[in-house]
Amino acid sequence: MTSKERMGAFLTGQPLDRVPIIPLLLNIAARLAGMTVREHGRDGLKMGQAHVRTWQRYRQDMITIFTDTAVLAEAMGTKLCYPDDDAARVDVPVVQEPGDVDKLLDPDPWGDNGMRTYLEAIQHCNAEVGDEVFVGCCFAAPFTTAACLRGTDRLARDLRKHPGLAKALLEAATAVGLKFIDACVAVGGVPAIVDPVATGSVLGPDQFDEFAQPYLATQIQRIHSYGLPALLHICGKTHRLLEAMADTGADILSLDVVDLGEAKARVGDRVTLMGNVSPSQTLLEGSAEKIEAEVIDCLRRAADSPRGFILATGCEVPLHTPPESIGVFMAAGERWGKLPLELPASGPESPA
Amino acid sequence: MADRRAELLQGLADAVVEMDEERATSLAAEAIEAGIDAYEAISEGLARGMEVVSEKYDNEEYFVPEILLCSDAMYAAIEVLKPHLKPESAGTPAKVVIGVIEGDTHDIGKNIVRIMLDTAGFEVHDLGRDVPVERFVSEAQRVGAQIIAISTLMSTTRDGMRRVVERLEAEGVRDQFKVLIGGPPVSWAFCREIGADAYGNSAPEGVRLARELAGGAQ
Repeated sequence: MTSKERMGAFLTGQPLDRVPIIPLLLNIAARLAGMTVREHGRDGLKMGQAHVRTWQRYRQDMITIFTDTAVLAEAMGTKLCYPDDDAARVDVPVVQEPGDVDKLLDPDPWGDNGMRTYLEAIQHCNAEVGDEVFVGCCFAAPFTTAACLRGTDRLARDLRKHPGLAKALLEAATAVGLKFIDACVAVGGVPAIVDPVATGSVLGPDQFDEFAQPYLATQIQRIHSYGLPALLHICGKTHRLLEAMADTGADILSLDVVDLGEAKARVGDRVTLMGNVSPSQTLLEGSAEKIEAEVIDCLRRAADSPRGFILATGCEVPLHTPPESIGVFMAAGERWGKLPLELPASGPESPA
Repeated sequence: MADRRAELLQGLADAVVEMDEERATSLAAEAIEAGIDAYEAISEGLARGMEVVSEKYDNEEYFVPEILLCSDAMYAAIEVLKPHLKPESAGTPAKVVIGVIEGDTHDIGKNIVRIMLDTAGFEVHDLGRDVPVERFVSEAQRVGAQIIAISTLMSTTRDGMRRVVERLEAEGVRDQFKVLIGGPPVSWAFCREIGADAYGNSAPEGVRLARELAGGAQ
């Protein structure tokens, strides 16, 4: 099966050969293709080439284009800084004072901004390998974009002190995200939403319900209107947020620091689970044995989840992860994810 | 007087817990007028309130927005009390320099730890974010810190922590400081690998370890 056939079968409930495998190979694609992150970050062709080469090497089940969570916010007026070989980051948020909300720009995804870079990268990937693999593109959710527009600490205070301002930012971010979804689908990309700032380490469930969930739901409905499944990724500790994440209408939850067995029990009947080999402690630092053991552990906890399971890393594969460790991850997934599953006899539980 | 004193101290604690900056500052002024020692107003009032806040954070009742607003209330009241602090009443708290390592600007986690260290009675020197390796070392020496606390959210920047330890060794001052690290891409394994002293996997755990590293003085 090609990656595309496998994902197609997976999503439509047809028989498939093995569990899909999607390590979150994002900025590391630049490294693997011999470019710096900065070089590929705002150049659509180079970004596309980096992802094509990465896919040809590992044959993961979806390409995941992404550079940083501030792409939409930058197009809306936030200033970023560009390290030589790392993802761009927020330098000066556009909304310093509540009155600055008037300064927000309403960008065109095809304008001179990072959204266009993504769109051109998707086009290149689709032209090169689009008949064999779906080309996903991750973009920042409204809450994360609002944090880049305002500064995370200020937005956090706004939730209680200026909720109206927070919601104005969230609405503006939602609207730009919707335009990006439309443009992404138009070039044959599969939009995926990432919301690292709305993690359970920052927000409580009530705050998530009020300030993240409704805006995510709006974007997810738009993705559904194209007949596509919606993937929602939130990094960090999200055990408190599992139901709220499922309530967004997302079809696939990409989870980081969560026990997949618990996620299966709580929301496995509503959403497909995706996760969650530790990016730093296992992929970056771990031996081949540790990587394989954690792959097996993830499969054991969640491969039988009612709405299915995708083997993945919990978050972005770190930039300086040894390339061979990614190969070990893929090989372990291909071996032990073969259906029907035949996992080795259960050893001692590895730490969650 | 005793009732009034208890009432004001409790009021200061409650104002912090309830994120009420205005009430915290006006109660701080009232406390001074009532003849309450400024140091006591902080340690028996505001800091008590922040202890409750830390518990609520640990119990998942409060989250980052609440912690920030509670600490805003605490710091605003401290500003009112500061001019009245008698130098001798403060004792000699253990000193910490804290910052986000160079290349990384994610400072929410560091800010939470700083607030909790402040509350726990440490003298905290916050170097901010994107802090060069050399600055951790030079500032720690300048202020006479016992602890260097370093945070990062990103795996790409965590090697800066290793360079702080190496720099301390190169300058022959490694044994003068304890190095405490935290953040999602680090672990006890990484801590041991780079020769740091402790790894805190949450803000309250970081503060507990800082107390231990300071020799239980706090």
